[in-house]
Amino acid sequence: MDLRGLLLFLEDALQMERYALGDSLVHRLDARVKLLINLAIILTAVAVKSLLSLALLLALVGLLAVVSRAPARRFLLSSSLLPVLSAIIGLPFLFLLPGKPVFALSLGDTVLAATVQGAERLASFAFRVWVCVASTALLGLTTRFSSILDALRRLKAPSFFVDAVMMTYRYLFLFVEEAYRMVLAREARTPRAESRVQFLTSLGGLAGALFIRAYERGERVYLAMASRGYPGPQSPVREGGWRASDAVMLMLVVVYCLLIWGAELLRYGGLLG
Amino acid sequence: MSVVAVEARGLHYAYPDGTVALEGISLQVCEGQSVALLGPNGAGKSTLVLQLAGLLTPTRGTVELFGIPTVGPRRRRARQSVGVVFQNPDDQLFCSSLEEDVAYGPINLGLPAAETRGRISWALQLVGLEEKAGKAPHHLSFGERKKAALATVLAMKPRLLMLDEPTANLDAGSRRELMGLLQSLRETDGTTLILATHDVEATAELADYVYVLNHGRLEAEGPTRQILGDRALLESVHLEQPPLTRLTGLLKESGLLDSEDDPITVEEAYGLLSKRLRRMA
Repeated sequence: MDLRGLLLFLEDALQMERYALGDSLVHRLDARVKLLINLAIILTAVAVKSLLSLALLLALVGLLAVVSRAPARRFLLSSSLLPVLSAIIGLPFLFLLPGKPVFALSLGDTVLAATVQGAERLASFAFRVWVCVASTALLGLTTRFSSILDALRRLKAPSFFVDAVMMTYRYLFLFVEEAYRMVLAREARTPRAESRVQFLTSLGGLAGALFIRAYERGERVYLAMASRGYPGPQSPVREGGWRASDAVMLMLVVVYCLLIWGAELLRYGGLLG
Repeated sequence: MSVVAVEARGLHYAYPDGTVALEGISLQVCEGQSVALLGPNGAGKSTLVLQLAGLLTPTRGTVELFGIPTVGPRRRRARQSVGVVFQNPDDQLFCSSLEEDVAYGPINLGLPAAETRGRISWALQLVGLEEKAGKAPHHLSFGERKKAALATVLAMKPRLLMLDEPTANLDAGSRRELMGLLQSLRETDGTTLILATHDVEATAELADYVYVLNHGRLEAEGPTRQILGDRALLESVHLEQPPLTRLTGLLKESGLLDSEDDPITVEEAYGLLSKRLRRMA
């Protein structure tokens, strides 16, 4: 994938919110409930050790995805990229952890032995990332971003954090569009194939120009905010309250996570052997 | 005696890199007036708007908004009476939905929730975007974003409205809508307007007084008709007369039209030329 393709991919990925306009049990849940469910799944994924527990959590996310009728291709695409990257980053686990050897790689005088324990750690690491990313991707596919921000404010998240998230999201679109226009302008003045060095040099220039533009825009945005009273007593534009279905769904997920967590505690605490 | 909305005295401003943007600007705009800051690109119009709104601190000189200095302990109070519409709506729309963006100013003014909601729907209705309240700004067209930026400021009901290049990059339809909206704000609500622009036609339609800026200095000032009738002045600052003013000027030079007045709008030119054509017929 070239630079232009990457930017188009990013632009498309940012359009995730269009799926949040759907109608399903998950879509209709209060955004705060969905945030808390996401948090419960992530915390449990971070806390548990066994692949079975992680698989149970992934099954829960999968079930919610099915109920929400989230587009399968988009869901899998947006939730599998990071786990693959994590698996690549975590590859050293395979060889560094001592244990029962599976196979060995000979690099001159050095022999690297992959172990069962290493493979388990690597799988657990990638699986954990997959659960967290899939759960968050599902949140994005079923909840409008403005509702997520509203939920964060109503859950008393620090306002500087919510503002930072809000602006990052808002200006990501402009950033990608601006980068895309710059890439097109560069290509328009690049009639011949570039060497790798030339490509990297112009890429560096492009990144620098983007940084300066982002900095200047940041200053203008600050002035626009100041002209409308920033920093002032920002408070949320409130949406509706919780319904019984919200409380039931949250309780079910929390109980499910606690059961997984409890089973792990018992197992690794020695009570189950 | 009319209330002075904004007054600048001996305003100087230099950017941190040393570039001098404004040199000794003094001007006064009274409540209810509609004033254009007319000048070419790089004349310092945007910087002057930010200075007049109290968003930048002058290197030298003073600015007062409705008698309150924009520097010092009451600067926030001073700013509350002014709304600024930036040239690029993407600088102004920073929230994740249009509704949130319009609510931003009223909330910061400390208005109660019910009034904030009322202001949101009023402002969005005024600019014709009430159907798009829940949309993210990046899903609006440029013309809609420009109107949305105006709504974010109108919701604060400012006594003084400053617009930086309001007509830049707009198609004819969006431009017409925006001009109509500004006309009605001026005529119906008596809002004081300051337009920073190089659009002489918008100046002719909206302003009743003009300050001409070039290289950070005031080159001239006067009633709109007087300034737009001065071809030499406008050309000296890289601007041109409105096309129909130029046309009637050429007709007068060649003896085909005899009139004391220089028409500056289409309606005025139509009145003058149709009278002449009827006489000929």
